[in-house]
Amino acid sequence: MSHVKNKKEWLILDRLCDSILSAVDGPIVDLGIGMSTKILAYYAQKYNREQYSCDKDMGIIKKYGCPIHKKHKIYHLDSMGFVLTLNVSPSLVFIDGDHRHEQTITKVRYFLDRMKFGSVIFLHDTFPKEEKYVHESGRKCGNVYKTRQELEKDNSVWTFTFPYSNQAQGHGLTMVMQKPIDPPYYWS
Amino acid sequence: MNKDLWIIIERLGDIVLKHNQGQIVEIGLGQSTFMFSKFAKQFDRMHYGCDRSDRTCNWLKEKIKTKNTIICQMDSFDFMKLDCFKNMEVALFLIDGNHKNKYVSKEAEFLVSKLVPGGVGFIHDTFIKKDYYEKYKARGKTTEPYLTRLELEKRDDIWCLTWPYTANRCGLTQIIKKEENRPFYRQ
Repeated sequence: MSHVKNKKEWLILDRLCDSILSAVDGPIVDLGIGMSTKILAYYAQKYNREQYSCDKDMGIIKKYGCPIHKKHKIYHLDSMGFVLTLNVSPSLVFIDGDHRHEQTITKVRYFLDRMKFGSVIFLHDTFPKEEKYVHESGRKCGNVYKTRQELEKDNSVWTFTFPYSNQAQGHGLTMVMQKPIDPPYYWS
Repeated sequence: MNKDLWIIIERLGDIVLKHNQGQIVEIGLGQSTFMFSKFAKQFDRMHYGCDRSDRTCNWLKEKIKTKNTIICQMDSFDFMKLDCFKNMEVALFLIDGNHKNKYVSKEAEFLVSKLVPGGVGFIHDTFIKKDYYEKYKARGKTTEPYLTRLELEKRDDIWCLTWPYTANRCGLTQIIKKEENRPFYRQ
């Protein structure tokens, strides 16, 4: 596990990175820089992966000391602009940028189309703790809960949401994984 | 022994138990029993496990000397009838026993019904490797936990995701119980 300080809120992410990255090749992508970026940077170095991070706020980029390692590429861009410039097959994606459903689902679909089986997308703010955090404009948790709801209805993916109050700021952390395409009958 | 066999449960178990009251239940015992026994002691929970094999049960009883772990040498159908389950709430479980669907399906149905909201269950061998599947087939046996996974994926009261790696790369399905009566943004 990483030695990043104050990682308590992101323990689940921290605890699962080893299992994912030891099994799946590909870079790490994170949208919205924060404490999660530091945790992912630890694993990017451990597994010698490229890490692509973006944030539209230069103050945040500086606050978290980015770039953190040699293979850390920072994009000072809107997250949608960033996604459209990337053409990679990530092993792990962390999305905590723009909190509008339409934008978020577009990014999730974009990555699902490019990811290998076993790769995981982590989505933050999918399970707001109170209604006051829900805003159609994208403020606070925005309406990312709608992204979770849409993915839950999609039979081509598995979704799993941790609802714990002291994890991911208490606003939910959803994992999304593509199911295998054309699986043998004893899987399907 | 594969040290990463149960790494996902090892890494998430304490987070689950910190957030949820309830006991630990295990169907089909082995190396995982040591891990659950440790969690039971750490969080002061009871850990109930069953296995049909007297050899396995005796070995574990010899090795695990804590009052928190109760090992029952019996079939899971008899195990689920024990009085201790009547009012029990479960925070964490693992099903890794008989591979026939009639067993796995009943075990999952029973344990998911006991799971507290936020509690997590795991089912092993839900995404078995081809060579394992062929081995079973050559012996005239079936391995059907994948059927239970498919049943669980249709349920609305849980979320489930299957890890294709770790757990001998035979699939580890992770289930979490949803709260009832959720507001629209938690539906």
